Amino acid sequence: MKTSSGELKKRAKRNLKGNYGLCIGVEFIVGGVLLAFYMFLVLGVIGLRLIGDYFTPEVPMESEMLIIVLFSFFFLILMVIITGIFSPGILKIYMNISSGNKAKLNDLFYGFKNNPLKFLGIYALVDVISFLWVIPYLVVLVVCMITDFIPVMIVMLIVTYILMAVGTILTSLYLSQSFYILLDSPDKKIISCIKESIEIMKGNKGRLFYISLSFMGMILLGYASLYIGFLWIFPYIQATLVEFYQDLKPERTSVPSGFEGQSYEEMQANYSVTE
Amino acid sequence: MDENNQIENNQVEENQSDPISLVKPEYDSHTIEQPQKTQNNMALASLVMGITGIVTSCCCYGGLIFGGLGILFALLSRTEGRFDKYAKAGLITSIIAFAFVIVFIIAFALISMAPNMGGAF
Repeated sequence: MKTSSGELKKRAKRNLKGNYGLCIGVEFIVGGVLLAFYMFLVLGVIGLRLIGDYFTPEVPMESEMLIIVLFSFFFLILMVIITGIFSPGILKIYMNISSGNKAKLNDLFYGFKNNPLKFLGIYALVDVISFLWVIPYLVVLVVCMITDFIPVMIVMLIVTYILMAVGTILTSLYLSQSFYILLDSPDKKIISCIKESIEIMKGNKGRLFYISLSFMGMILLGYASLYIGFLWIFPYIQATLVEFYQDLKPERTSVPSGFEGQSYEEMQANYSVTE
Repeated sequence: MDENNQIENNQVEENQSDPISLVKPEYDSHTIEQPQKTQNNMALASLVMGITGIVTSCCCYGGLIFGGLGILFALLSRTEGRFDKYAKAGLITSIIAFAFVIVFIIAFALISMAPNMGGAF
């Protein structure tokens, strides 16, 4: 069943009606937590610089910078982990809204309560697989810098850049449904979720790409309103993506052979006859 | 026996013609659902944003922010495939606010480029 993107968006808007408050609240909470960590990072870097300048002037500049870089790296990793643990909760809320169940703010902490390592694992694995496409580009870039940008290397750089862009987009399209699958059935293994995501995305990549591109206008409006509009745009995008997953889901239910193309009632009648 | 039967029959008839039982219960009149038109808050917000956008369009950012939000709310309020009348009005006013902002920006740019006016900024 392939529903048009317009219909999916209409469903998303209908479901979100009356739920915008919760969605915006969730955004504020997650954004607030991340901002607090970010502020801590900035203050930490400033503090380290001050300590380095005034209290320990005998320590060389290089080691000071190394400490600051390590500190920033540690905090950035921490922020990625927090985003990774919050994301299943956010998706759970949107899935509840989409399926007509009561969505609660309590669902935001779903990732903390249920198998946080599994969700982090799938998050990390998807990121690592997407990052694999960046490696050839980085290698060519380094070689380019060493060889002082000779024409052959510039051509190689452009080719690897295109490869990176196409590869990253394709990978993210293929793996996009793995989170939803894991949320729907938390007992599944990470690898099987990824495999299933690849399976259900076959023949639907174009649709998801088109839906993602169609948000471009709204995102521009969000920028025009100095990011205030994103409070409403992000829930809308999330809800539409969840609707897309819900639309793909029925394709996964297997119909026994001999019953294809029949309604449920017909299947029941025919089943009792064959019995 | 016959007398007794007659009395019972009379009682049954009396019960059947009981005026109380013929009165329709009051809740019956409320069971027919009237189609109610719900207020679309998003569309109303769009109209408010559009008007505010026009008013504040002289100060560039005001028009951009409120105009952008007005268009956004109008688009998000369209759940049934067509725009509500408030949403339509909101969309038009927001687009006007956007147009005003562009006109103002061009005007400011032209004034600032004019050599003998000393620049607007």
